[in-house]
Amino acid sequence: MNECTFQVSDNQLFNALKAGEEWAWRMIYSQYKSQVTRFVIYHHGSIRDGDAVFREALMVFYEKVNSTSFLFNAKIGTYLLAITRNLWSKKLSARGQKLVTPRLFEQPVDFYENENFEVNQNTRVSRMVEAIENLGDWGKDMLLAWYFHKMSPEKIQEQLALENEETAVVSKNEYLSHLKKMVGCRH
Amino acid sequence: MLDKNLKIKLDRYLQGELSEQEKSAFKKLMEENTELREEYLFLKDTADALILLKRKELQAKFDQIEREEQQRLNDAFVPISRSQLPLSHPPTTSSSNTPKFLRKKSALLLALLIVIALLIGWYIVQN
Repeated sequence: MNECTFQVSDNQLFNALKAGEEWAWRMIYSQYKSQVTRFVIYHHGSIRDGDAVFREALMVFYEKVNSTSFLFNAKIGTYLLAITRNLWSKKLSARGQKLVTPRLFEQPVDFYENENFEVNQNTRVSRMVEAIENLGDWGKDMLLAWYFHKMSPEKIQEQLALENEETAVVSKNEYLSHLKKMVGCRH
Repeated sequence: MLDKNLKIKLDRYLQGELSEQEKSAFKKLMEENTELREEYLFLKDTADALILLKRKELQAKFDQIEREEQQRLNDAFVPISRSQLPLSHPPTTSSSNTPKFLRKKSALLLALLIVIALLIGWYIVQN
């Protein structure tokens, strides 16, 4: 089925994205890529800048969607443009330029205005990335469930088909101590 | 070894489940308790590493979506052969209309000229 032939509400799209549905990504790509790249190009960026910022905005949006404090109370396009605005403004100021744009978006427009989306990428974190990859899929999924998707033990038990909630906690702790040994932790 | 209750509280703190009041009390506790602070830093690095891993995964997904989109666009355009072009259509390039043997001849001529130029150069240098 062609994904462009049916209509879905933002709410359905949001839930599908949260559930990691493949079609949701494709739909977001086809619906919002031009909007985001147009914004960047209109504000002194190139097509390449637009593409890069769009990808980055999608990643940040996905992280937001997975955070417990996220409240979905505006259109997806509004969130994406607010994130884009933040990301592009930072990139422009790194180039010594300033983003001057009227408040075009619907309220609330100030999402993420002063937020820093940068992730710490020091040597410790790089070593950690390597170590997590070496934990194997099961360990990685377990830690992702806890610290990325921020699921409750109950949800993790259900998602990973564990015996009970306690198993989720014990298993997580085991992987963490294994990880500590792997990175030679001196935290 | 960190106290079990502190571990649970730290998890709740990282999950964003604590109230503002509980959060500030916990932050204060972290300042006082080195072991707790170290555990927090370790978990913070773990969370950052997981975000980076997830971003890598997403980049691969986006690459795939873009490749497929490009393929779809390519498939949408059917290539037209020269014979299908209207008669009034101007030739695409002048060289493509030149007979093959003539193109071969000019290449040979060019090579010959280069050899002659090199021989003259060598002769001048020798004398």
